[in-house]
Amino acid sequence: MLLSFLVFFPLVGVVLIALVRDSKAAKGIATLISVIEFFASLAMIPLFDPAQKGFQLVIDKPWIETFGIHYHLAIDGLSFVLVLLTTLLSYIAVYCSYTAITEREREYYVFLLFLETGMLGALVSVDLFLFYVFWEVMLVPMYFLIGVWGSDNKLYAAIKFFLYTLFGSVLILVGLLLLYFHYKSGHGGVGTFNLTELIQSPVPSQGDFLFGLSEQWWIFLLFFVGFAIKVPMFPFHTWLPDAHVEAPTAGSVILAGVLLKMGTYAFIRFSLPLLPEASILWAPYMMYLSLIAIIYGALVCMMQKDMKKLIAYSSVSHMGFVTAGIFALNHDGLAGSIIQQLNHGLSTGALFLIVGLVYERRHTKKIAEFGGLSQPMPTYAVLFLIATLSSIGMPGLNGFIGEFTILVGVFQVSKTWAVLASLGIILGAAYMLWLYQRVMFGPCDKPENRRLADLNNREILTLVPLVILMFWIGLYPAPVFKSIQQSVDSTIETMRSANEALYDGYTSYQHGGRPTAGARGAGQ
Amino acid sequence: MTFFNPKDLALLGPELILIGMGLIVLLVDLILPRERKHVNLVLAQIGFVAATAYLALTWPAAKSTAFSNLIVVDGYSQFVKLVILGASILSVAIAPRYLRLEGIYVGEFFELLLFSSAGMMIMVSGNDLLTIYLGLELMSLASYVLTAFLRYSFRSTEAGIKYFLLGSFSSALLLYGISLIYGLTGSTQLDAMGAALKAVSAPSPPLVIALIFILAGFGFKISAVPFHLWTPDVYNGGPTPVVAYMSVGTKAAAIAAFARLFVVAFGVQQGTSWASMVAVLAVLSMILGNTVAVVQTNVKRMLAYSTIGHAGYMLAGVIVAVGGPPQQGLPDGLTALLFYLFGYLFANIGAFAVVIYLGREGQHEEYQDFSGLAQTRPWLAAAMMIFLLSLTGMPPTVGFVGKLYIFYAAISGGYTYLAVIGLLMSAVSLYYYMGLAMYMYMRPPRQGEPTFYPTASLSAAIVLCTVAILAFGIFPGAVVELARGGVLQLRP
Repeated sequence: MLLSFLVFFPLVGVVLIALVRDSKAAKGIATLISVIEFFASLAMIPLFDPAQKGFQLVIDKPWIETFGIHYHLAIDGLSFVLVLLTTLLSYIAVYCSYTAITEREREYYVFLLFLETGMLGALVSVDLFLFYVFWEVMLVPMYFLIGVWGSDNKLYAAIKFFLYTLFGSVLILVGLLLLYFHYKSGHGGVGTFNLTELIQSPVPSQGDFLFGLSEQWWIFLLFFVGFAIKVPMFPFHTWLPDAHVEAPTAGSVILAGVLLKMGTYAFIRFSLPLLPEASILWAPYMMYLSLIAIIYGALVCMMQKDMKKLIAYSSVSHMGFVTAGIFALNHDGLAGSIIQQLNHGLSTGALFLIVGLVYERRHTKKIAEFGGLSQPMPTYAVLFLIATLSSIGMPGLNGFIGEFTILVGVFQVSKTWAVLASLGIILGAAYMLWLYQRVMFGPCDKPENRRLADLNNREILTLVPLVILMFWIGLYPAPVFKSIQQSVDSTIETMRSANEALYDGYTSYQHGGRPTAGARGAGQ
Repeated sequence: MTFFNPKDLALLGPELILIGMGLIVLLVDLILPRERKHVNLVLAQIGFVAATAYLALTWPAAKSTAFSNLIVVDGYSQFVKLVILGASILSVAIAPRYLRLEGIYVGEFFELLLFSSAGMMIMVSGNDLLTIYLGLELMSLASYVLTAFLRYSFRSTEAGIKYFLLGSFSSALLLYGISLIYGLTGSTQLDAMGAALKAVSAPSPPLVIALIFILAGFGFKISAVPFHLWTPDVYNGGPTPVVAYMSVGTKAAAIAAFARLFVVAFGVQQGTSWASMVAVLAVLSMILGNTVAVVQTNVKRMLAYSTIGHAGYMLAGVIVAVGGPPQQGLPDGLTALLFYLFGYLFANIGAFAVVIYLGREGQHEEYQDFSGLAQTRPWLAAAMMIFLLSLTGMPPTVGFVGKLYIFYAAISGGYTYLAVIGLLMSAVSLYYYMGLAMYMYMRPPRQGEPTFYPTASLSAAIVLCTVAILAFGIFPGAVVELARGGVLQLRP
């Protein structure tokens, strides 16, 4: 019941906003709904048992019986932490828009709430078809958020975002149908989209499906393109800077904070357990792409003249860490990548809010327009600094925990890769600190900058929850690790048995070609 | 076997109701004063609703034939008739505003609509090539006149002439194909043709030529590439309610009749090689329709090209029915086709209804007319958005389930390439459908916008289409079962 409530309650807000005429009332309703959502998601905490294996809080009802599709919602550790992140960021997205959005406000909040339904639905669906439905439902509101309330080049950015992601989703749909038919042919013509059941009847990883490659290999490829566009992984990332630069602040926060996570979430939730052998075969290539994303994204950041574009490219680099962690295919890598997804949501979300705050005041995001802002805006300077340090992985803040754990995971696979990945951290420190220096320090020589007002209480309140969480995860990450423990363990267990099946227990990708006696790395 | 059995008439009940009502309208129109022409509309709507009610109450449990096997009534034919009647009812509901605006609010309009629907329904129930041809001509003659109904408009008359000339040509091709088939099999009756073709081991050249002619005849009505050339001009020039009606009704009737012919007569033998001939049309239609629609600036032209693309998706269902695995292909393919038609009905007529809502004298229907609609008329824009999403095939709309069913059938029938092309073309279609959404939501409203006065029936039709798209998109189960039950009755 709780999950159904979480997913569909925002639609109540949509109906209420449609009924009122006043934009102030719309703001109030949207805030109220998103606050209730947040507290409802907190109600999951006592109900969720981190020690339990498999899915919890299950709702399972037949939906379209002809195809064996069920309305099947449930959470495990992975979706649990991401749902909490989503409801928090959705609330912040509403709260930070009070003054930033001044026209067509009712529609704006309607789309934000629709988006929340789509995101939460995708995170808690255990039926692949239902997941796909919510995955698509997320697209439309985001398209409008960018296209209606964006800045100058919004139409181009909006349609580019929509086309890229839809192109990816149709490939996912083909992959889903292939999985479905494989199951159906093995079960006397009875099909299902139930994740658990599909995992139990794996698609062949050997044999000739098309051009001499196995069915699993192909499904992985289809899923990969769809998910990689969403993450976005190099070379599918080109929509992201456009979308971020043009989107309104709240749109960027949601986009960076939640929508990008959908891609990495789907890799962990679907690609790894459903297609374990193919994942292992693909893993080195995934790793190369991740490393390119980490280093290339960071280098591009150095060149940016626009604050928002810089942070957008830093997302490419940070998400590269997440995918590198996933495709290290070991316990540390995977756990680190989940933590890093949270971290990226918090720190990049905060950074986009911070850029949005000065954009609202100065209507520009050009770095050259600023300088010495720490004098007129001291509170702003402190919060900006914390977010910057969190983003570059300063020990004591959340970013460090994630990146460190991922590097430990990658190190177990290949020392060279770990070194290359850590290059990204160094570059990250360089571009972020340089950005901070150019914007906050130096002489405050522009008269319009000298008059800037510091943050008001509402603005501080939008950032404070994020800052608290940054410190919390940085100093005491144990509760998060504990929540995701079971999900990580079971995924790694699947990967390990697949690895043994694939390499007959001797050599493998994971262990650099050495015998696996004692199976180091997996499931410590 | 007696030649005539009174019970046979009962099977043709819906058709007879429509023809009877057509004659009544014809007579009543003579005595009606000029300012009371709306009585015709009410009468026509009563006819359509009565036919629908008759259809629903006499839903067949099994296949039955009438008039010496010339007519067949089964769940399959009745489902398509339901779609045709739905298209008729909605088209009549959206017509008044347009007819008044253009000054063509006359009785003949409704009478022709009734006759045309009767023709479509006879076509769908045809169990003999000649019955099918009879229905097709009744439908076509009425729709030629309807297309040219704006007598004073240059574009409408041009469209009418174009449609008439090309349509007659394609009918002639069809007749020629029928005569070839008769020569080869000795029958025009579908089951007998199937039995005769079963004995043939490989497709002979005359048989292939005959099928090509028949394909040309039906392909024209379905507007499948390369027989689509009339479509953009007729859609652009013809009266909007007529175009809305034809885009669903004509297409549904022609593809359903073709599917029956194809499955019953050709499908029993050499199914895959026949299917690959049709696959060429399907692939071309999906690709050309969707890509050319991208560059249109007129909404009706865009919808015309998009219907060509949709014809490609529908043909994919027919292909699976004939070329798929023996036991599974037929029910999967045709159920997918029927459900697709059902969803397409609401989305397409809904989109045309919005075009009528915004229509002005002199027919513009450009993309610019939709500028800023979300600010001036938010509910109308939201409805249009839902129609566009359903046409694109985005969840949770009925169009999504329809497309999914088509792709499902294609993949399970061994036509994965059709599914992949179809899916990629869906992504292309997003570009032009969302292009229109962009005008509605992301452009400022035009200055000096006139106030629109929709009729109550127009608004009701838009609401009905919206509700149906969402309701059947979220709960498609019942309709899928109904369609599947009908298709199972068709099995030869």
